[in-house]
Order: sequence, then C-alpha cells, then structure tokens
Amino acid sequence: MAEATGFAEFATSRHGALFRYAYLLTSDRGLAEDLVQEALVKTYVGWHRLRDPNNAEAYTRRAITTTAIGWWRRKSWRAERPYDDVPDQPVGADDATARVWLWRELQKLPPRQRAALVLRYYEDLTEPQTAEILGCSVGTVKSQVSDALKKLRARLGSDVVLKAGITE
Amino acid sequence: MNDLLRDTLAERAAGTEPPPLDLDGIIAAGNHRAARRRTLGILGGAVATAAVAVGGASVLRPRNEQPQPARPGPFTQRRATFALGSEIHYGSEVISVAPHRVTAFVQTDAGFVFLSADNVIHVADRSGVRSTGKSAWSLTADHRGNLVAWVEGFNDRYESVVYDVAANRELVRTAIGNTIPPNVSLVYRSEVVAIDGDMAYFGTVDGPYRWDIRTNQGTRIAKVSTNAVRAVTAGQIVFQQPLEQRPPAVSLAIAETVSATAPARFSGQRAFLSPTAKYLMTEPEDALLGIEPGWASPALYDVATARQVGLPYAYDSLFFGQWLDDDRFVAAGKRRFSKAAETDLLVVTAATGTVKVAVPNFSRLTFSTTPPRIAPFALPTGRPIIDFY
Repeated sequence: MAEATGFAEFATSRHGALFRYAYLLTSDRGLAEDLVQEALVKTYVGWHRLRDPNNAEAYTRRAITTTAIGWWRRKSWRAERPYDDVPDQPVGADDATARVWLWRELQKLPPRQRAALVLRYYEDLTEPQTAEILGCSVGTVKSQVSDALKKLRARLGSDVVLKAGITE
Repeated sequence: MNDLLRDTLAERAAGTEPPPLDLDGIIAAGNHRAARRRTLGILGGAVATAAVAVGGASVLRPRNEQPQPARPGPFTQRRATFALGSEIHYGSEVISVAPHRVTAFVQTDAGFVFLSADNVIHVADRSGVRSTGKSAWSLTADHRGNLVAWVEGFNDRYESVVYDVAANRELVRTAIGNTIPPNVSLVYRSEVVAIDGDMAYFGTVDGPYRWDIRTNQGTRIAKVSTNAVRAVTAGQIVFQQPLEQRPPAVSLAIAETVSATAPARFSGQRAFLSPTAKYLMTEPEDALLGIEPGWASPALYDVATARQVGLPYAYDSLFFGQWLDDDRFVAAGKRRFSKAAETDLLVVTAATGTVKVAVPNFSRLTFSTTPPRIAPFALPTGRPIIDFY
C-alpha cells in the first residue's frame, strides 16, 4: 500500500515532465502518451527496487527512451503514425520559420540521436547523465550529438544555421 | 550556443498539454504484470504440473479479490449450458424458471441471472427464481465469481450496476459518463463491457470507464466511443483499432491499455477472451447477415501469435456460448446442410478448432417474422441472439 502511495505521488508529480520528454522524442501526442504509460507501468512494477524518486525518474526516462527506440526499430510507429505533429499552442513569431524547420528536421533524426539532443539540450543533462539514460558510453553520447548536429546543419543550410547559432 | 535548438525544444514541449494521468490503469496493468510474473515463476517450479491439472484456469488467474462466499458457490463449475424456453440446461441438470421465458442469461458461481421476455432481471438457483425488480437489455458476468452487471436506462441517463448474486445486493450503482444529451440519438447504447476480477468496465456515453468495485471509484480509460472496448479479461483489453474507427468497426487490438499504437491483429465485432486471454473468439453482432464480408464469420484466434484457428465447415453459423476453461468453449452450431436449421450444442477445443457435440439438435436457428427477431434458444453471453434485418 505504501509502495502504491509513493508511486502515485511520483507519477502524479512527474507525469507532465515525462510526457513532454516523450513528446519531444516522438513528436506525436498519442505515441508519447503510450510511451509514458508503458514506462510508468514498468516503473510501478519495479518500484520496490527504486524507492528514491530520483532513481525512479531516471529509470522511467530510460524506459521511455529504450521503448521508443524499440518501437522505431520495429517500424511500428512509422507504419502506424497517425496524426498530430501540431503543438497545442501557436508557434511564436520570433525565428518562427527556423524553429518550424528545425522541428521538422529533428523528426528525421534516428531516435537515439534525437534522444541525445533532447536530453542534452532540453533536459540539460550532462554527458554522463545522458549516457546513463541511453545506456551507452560518454563517447557514444558525444558522437551521437555531434552527428545529429552535423545532419541538422547540412539539412537546414548554412544561412539558417549560422543565423540561428547552431554550432558545436 | 545552440539557442535555436533549445528554444525549439522548449517551445514544443511547452506547447503540448499533457493528457490526464490514468493512474488506476497504470497500477492495474502493473499489478497484473507483476502477478503474471509471479505466476510464471510458480509454474516454472516442480509443482506446476500438478497445480495446473487440479486448478486449471483458476491457478493461472492472478486475482481473487471479488466478494466470495465462504464455501464454493453451487454453480462454480462451467458446463455445456443453454436456455430454451423456460428451462436452463446446465449440463444434464435442468432448472425450470417457468412461467418466465429466458431471452438472455449469464452464469455466476451463485446462480444464473436471466432476462425474461419483458427484460426484467431474475436470479435462478436451486432454491427457485427471484426477481430483482430491475430491467436491462443485456447482462455481463466474469468467468467466475458471484457478480453480474447491467445498465439501466432512464430519460436523462443510464446507470451502471454491479450486483452480488450471493449476497443479493448491489455493490455499485453509478451514472458516471452516462448523461444522455438532450435531443440526440445515440448510436450505441451504454453497456457493461466486462467484469474482470474486482474491476468493472463500463461502456458509457462518454467512453469506457474502469471501475474499482471495492473502492467504488473509477476513471475513464480513453476518450473513445461507447463501444470501442469490446472485452476485458485478465487485464487484457480488446478494443477497436483505429480508435476512431466507424461502424461496423471490425478491426481489433488486444493490449493492457487502450492505445492508438497497438496493432490491429484481429477481426470481429463481439469479442470473447478465454479466462487467461490465451484465445479470442469473435463474431458479428447480427445473427444472420445477408451479404457476408470476411469479418462477418465467427473467428477464433490464438492471441499470442494472432494465428486464426479454423472452425468446422459442417456448421455455417456458430454462436459463442461460454468458456469452460482456458482451452475449451461451448458454442451453438447450425448444421450447414440442414434445411430445418438444426442446431447442435458443441464443445470447441480452441487450439485446434475441433468440436465435440454435447447436445445434438437441441434447437433450431429460426427467427420469428416480427421483432424482436431473436433465436428460440439463448447461450450464457448475457445477450439474445438477434437477427437485426
């Protein structure tokens, strides 16, 4: 009973942040909802081993990431991708075009690279923290981020990139 | 440095509002998964063979929370059962409910619950027949236990009810999700989709709700149509996929939670999962379809592999009745070449689709020319067999 209460507190307080993380990985609300639900089920099952909410959050993020990568490999989310890459709120005016383009290009990145960017540039995690969630070495995180940024620069063009300030 | 990337991600994240958290669903799925792991662990041990042989499906079923009598109920055993006129044939035992005529019925461990021709709900056991004083269009029961559920209709709402047959009292009565909007014609009538252990699943006007019978609280599990969820057993939910599928909505998925991504691997309208969700039997809503698309035939699936199991050609109409255990179910089959529509009561082995005739020619699949056009016999699914057209 105490376990369920602790888990409920964790899930209720962190659900929004986890959902947003999943949404950035998938750019699809339905998939993000499924990812978070599945990851929270895994966290609940393993709750007695986690206890510390900090561990639980890292565990859940890792579950979201690995599940997303697994789905991508099985092509299930590309094959059944339904709708919804439009945010609920309108895009702001400043640098709007560049952000729309960048968002679209982010969706074309392999999930592991995309996850690395989200963890580093949205969650502001360090390279070792990112490596822990991705289940890889720090060197791999570096190369994933580097490769992803190279691709974005190549696709967006030098004007946009320089103006926008995407540099390594 | 990398401001554009940070801004883009932050903007997108801020612009998407998280959906409501389905905490009950997550905990229910987690409990089920944990119980299944424990069960598999037990089954891996040396006692597994003996336990399965003795306990059958009940050993595999990881829950036993619903109210139970101190002793096993008098009708705990599932047998080849059907109702014809005023008699419920429970294996070789015949229970008379005269002067009532049974149009639909279900079995609970404590007794049979049936609808008479005027849709009044009655309970029949070895001590006799008693009326609950309530009425409904259909009944829902679990694979075992004493609970039955139904929906009562009023001018402005429906009420979902869960009733304990052994204790002779209502455990749940709620109108949640079931306000009938004024001046509308509803495509689907509300119903109780399933009782699964201590959870009831209500198909309401607002969508499906999972209701904890013990705490008498529940939440909507998805914002989908009234009949999007078709069955729930052992924590496995059968639902239409895509979720926005329009009638007849015959593509089905099975998962622990209702989601837009579960693959649609099955076909059918009505769904009947075996007690541990090992097999799925589906059938159309209508008893007799004039033009028969593929989904209009009854279909039997192995859930894990989605392999369709062939059903015997000798019967051109097959109606699901009840799971006897996780591997066998009772069905009524109309003989393909019978001009008199002779119908046999069958026991079907799910793994192979082979059948054994339990009661030959127990009735005929005929329908009156005036509504309600229902079959002369009923099977323990809680609904009459109806010819809509």
